[in-house]
Amino acid sequence: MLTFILEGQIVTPIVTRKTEFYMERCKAIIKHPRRRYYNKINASKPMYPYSFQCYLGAIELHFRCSNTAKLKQKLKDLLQIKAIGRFHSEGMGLVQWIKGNIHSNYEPTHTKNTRTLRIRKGLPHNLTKDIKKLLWYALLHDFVNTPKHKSKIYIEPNLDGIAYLRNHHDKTEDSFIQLFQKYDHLAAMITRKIRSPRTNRYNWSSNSNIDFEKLATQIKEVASNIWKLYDYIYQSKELEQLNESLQHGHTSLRNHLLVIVNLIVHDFQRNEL
Amino acid sequence: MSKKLSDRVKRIQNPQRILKVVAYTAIAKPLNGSLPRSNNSHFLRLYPIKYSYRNGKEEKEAFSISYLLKGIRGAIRHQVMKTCYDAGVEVCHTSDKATDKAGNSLLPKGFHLSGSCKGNGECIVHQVFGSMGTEGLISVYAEPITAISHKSAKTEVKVQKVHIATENRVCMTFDNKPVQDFGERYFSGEFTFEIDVTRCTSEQIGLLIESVINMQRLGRGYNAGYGRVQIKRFQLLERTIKRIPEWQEDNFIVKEELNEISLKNEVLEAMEAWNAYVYT
Repeated sequence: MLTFILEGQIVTPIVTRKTEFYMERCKAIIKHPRRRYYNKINASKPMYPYSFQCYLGAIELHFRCSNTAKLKQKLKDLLQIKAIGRFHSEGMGLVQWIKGNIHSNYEPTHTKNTRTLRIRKGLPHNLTKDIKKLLWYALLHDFVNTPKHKSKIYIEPNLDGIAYLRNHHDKTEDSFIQLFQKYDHLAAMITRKIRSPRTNRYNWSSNSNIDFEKLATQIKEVASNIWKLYDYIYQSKELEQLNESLQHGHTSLRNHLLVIVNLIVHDFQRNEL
Repeated sequence: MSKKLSDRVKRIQNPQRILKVVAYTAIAKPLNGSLPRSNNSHFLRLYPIKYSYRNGKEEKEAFSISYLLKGIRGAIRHQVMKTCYDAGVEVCHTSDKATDKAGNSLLPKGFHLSGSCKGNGECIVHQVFGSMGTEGLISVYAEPITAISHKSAKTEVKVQKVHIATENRVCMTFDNKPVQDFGERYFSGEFTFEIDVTRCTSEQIGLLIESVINMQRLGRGYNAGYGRVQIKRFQLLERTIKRIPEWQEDNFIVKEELNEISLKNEVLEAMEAWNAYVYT
């Protein structure tokens, strides 16, 4: 089987969500991608501007065929391509072809399969004492007043041992807090994608008001048992309406807490903690 | 149903008909939007471009960031609408909404809703520019702009050398320092853009020429005195592009051949065809 690779340079950004896609029976790969956002304003309508994700970089087209004559005919056809993707009438997606080659035994380099994080319905039973403590702190760390921010449900539930968490944003030499901070930052990095500032704790998807006092008491009731606490957070519709960060209005506090706990459990089960 | 990416591929049609326009602006802001964690509005940023220049006897190298010139197609469309309005031809408006939430009319006199004329009696603006779900006939492109002040600068890539800077628009100060700065990037100088009119009829080309000659606006801030454009010259070209692979065993390099012929008579024919369209 012969493989033909055509290489080129993207002149103006291609409007696409992915850097790998199929077109014209070829696999297209954008190498060294640089993400851009193409904004469109329709001044005649009272509406928010549209934003489209697009990429700059080098582009490669891979085409596989057994016949060399067909391969060269396909090359002639592909060289006629001027623009790829949406808004080519506005000058977007222009491509300049540079060079190419034919391989007789080409093996494509597969990207490494990254581990996917699955959100568990419940916590496993075989947990050690240290992990239980870490998970308990992870589930409750955002309900505590800290020097950086107040409790994210506005009211701090009165619990024994929760005062230890008030310094979880500080730079300390405490290995326990350092370990917790690692997972907190990792979970925040995963969940924070779109920056959209808010002035209160309700995120963009919230529809109703929340009784924060009731929420604090309910958390306090289940806080003694981490399995019950995890289950409460998993099923909570109130925590889903709150944002994790005021700068990111599309995140939810529930997802953030669940992601931290699942990252810890995931690493614990693989002995990588 | 939205089209797949594989269906959104544009090929070269030989011979192409290109309307090449040279324009000048003192200050214009065809901006893309603000960057994250910034109040300033920017152009759509492309690659940093490498260039070489002479400093006395020395040859030096430097980089300059290039930007995309946005919004030319929209500016042409607005001018085309104005030309049609002046000529008494009812055409599509840019919006497909008749009223806003409060019930105020959004549709001015002399226009109909965008895309409402599909099928029988399609207006000339809908034919040329299309609407939601209907592809237009033209495509507009301008070479990226960059700010290179060296006169002896040479670049490997085609760029347009203009002046680019930031206008500070300080909204609030504290202790003589800006707290909120809604600054905007602008460019000034001569620039060129091209309209691909290969698929247009002569009356449509005539309308585009008539509109481009009278084009006045580009980018934001027109009411504050920004974005005024003077058209210096234009040309209708017939362009043929040939891309040929030069083989060296299993590898090849793509070479591009470009030929351009000026079409003087077609310009006059197109203008006459547009006048005939208006008076019939």
